[in-house]
Amino acid sequence: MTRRDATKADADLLLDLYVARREDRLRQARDWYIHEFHARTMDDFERLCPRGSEANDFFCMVVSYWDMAASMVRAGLIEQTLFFKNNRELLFVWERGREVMMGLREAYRDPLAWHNLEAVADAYVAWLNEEAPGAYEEWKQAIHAVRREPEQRA
Amino acid sequence: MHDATATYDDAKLIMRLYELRLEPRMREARRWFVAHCRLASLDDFARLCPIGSRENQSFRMVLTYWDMVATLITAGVLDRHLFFESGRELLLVWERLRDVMAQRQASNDPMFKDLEIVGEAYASWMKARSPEAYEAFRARIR
Repeated sequence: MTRRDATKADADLLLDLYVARREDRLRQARDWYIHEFHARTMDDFERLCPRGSEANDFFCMVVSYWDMAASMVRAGLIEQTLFFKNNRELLFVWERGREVMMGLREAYRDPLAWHNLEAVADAYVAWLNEEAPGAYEEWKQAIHAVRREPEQRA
Repeated sequence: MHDATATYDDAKLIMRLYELRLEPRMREARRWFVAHCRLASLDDFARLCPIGSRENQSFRMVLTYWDMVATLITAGVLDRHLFFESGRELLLVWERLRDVMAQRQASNDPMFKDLEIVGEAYASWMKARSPEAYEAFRARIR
């Protein structure tokens, strides 16, 4: 991932990604992931997202969307600083799901699973540490508190 | 004729951003923000937009949308003067959030920094052209 000036093509791709994640079902999945997906172990994951469940669909939709976006960043097709400034959600998805994705990699014997997401999340952390030392650690603590209040649950 | 640097591509990008604002859920979020989102403190925010609520979702939609627009301006991808001619809603959002953001920024996290940069530049641009108009706008929307 090399650094360069952003262009109008980067802006176009940024907006294309923005439009794609507004689709109703993906919006629902992202909202679920942010507020309901709290799994640290494979047991947690199997309880929360059993195969064939809506929760499992939501998990797959969210991580595959962000892995796709990450593949574009890694390929240099979208300028990374512009992407990072607009897509903290990618880092959120990786931080929240890291243990589960690692566990699934092992279960699937597929080290390539979500490797773009991991690489871009690592680059994001490096960028954040360079831009604002300490901000990443602070943010990481804060995101664990993001949990829907019982009265807000459907 | 105020700006000779904007291009056809800037106009196209402004139109694309405009179209994104028309999506029904985004319209709902923007309408809610303009009508109801007046925050003096982080406590107000927690009361008005609890985690998981529709208001919280609307707030995040509005804030991240306008911050995204701001990043295009700070990156030099979108001509700021052409944008300022028609993007007053960004200034409204920034004016409404300025105080709360200042309370939040004990942290040096750069999140929403671009909205601040462009919001302040917009306020300066408007003040330079008509200080009375800026003050009247500010008083009306706060």
